[in-house]
Amino acid sequence: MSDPLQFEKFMRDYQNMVYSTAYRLLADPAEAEDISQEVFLRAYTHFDDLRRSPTIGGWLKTVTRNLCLTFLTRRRSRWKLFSEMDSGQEETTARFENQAGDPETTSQFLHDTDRREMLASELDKLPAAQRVALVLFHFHELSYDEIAAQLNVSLSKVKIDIHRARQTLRRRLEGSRQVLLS
Amino acid sequence: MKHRDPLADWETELHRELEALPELVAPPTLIPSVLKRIHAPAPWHRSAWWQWPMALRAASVGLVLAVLGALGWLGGSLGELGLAHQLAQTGAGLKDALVFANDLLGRLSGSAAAFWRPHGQIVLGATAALLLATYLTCVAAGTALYRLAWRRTL
Repeated sequence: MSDPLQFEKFMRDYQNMVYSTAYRLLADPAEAEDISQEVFLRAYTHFDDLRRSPTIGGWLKTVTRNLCLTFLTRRRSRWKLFSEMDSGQEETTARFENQAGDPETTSQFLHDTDRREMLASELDKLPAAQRVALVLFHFHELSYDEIAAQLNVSLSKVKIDIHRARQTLRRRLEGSRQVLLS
Repeated sequence: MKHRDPLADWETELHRELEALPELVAPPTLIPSVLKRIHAPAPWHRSAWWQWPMALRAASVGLVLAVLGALGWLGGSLGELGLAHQLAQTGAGLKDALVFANDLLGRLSGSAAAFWRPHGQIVLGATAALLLATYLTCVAAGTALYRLAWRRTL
């Protein structure tokens, strides 16, 4: 039987990592907390084995990711998330691409003190399909093929979503910089 | 002169920035919620029988005894009423029915073969057309349902 005190310490050590992983994918604090609870409940049932494992962080991250993706799928958002191309979104993206600033300028802006907060905020605002694909690529370091398999979508859809997410972030961050300077 | 790809530069920069994002702070309610769920007693139907409430244990014992009693009574009644003999007769009737069905199927397949020789291609084409029309109808109905009913709500 797991020692409750040890398990509580274990949760304190990993709660921010688990919560962050869930939040990056879901962009909703309440849903991220629910998923985090489920992750720790699963960890509790395997705690005797897990606490001796050197890959416990990876296990938690993988379980969190899988639960989030299952949650997103069950929420039926998949209809919108992973299977359709919204024409309005395409127009918006095209406009973003036309207005995107010089990447070097954007890069300089990203070295401002509050750049990370702004980046995290803009990440949350991305359309779910783009955010999920981008997070799986950059935070979970999955390949395009792996992301396509995880989301059960085509490879080209993954590439387009990630490309659009990058373009959107680039444009919005550049736009924010111009607002601040003016 | 080496040409720099601005998109590749931005991808690299973005990756670095995203990796450098600090972890979010979990809400203070997370650990208490997990501990509460861990220590909450399991519902009676998910726990062992001897951990069920006394009334449910008594009811379950009563139910099992009632089922066993009913089975015993049924067995005794079969013997007394001669139902076993009637069941045997029913079995013989079933055998006759199977022989008849086999004969009927043989005749039907013979008739079908005789019909198929001159009209086979027409039947095949009509079946394929019917299946295609059914499939297209399903696709059209599904698309209409999706657009009219669901898309607006997502």
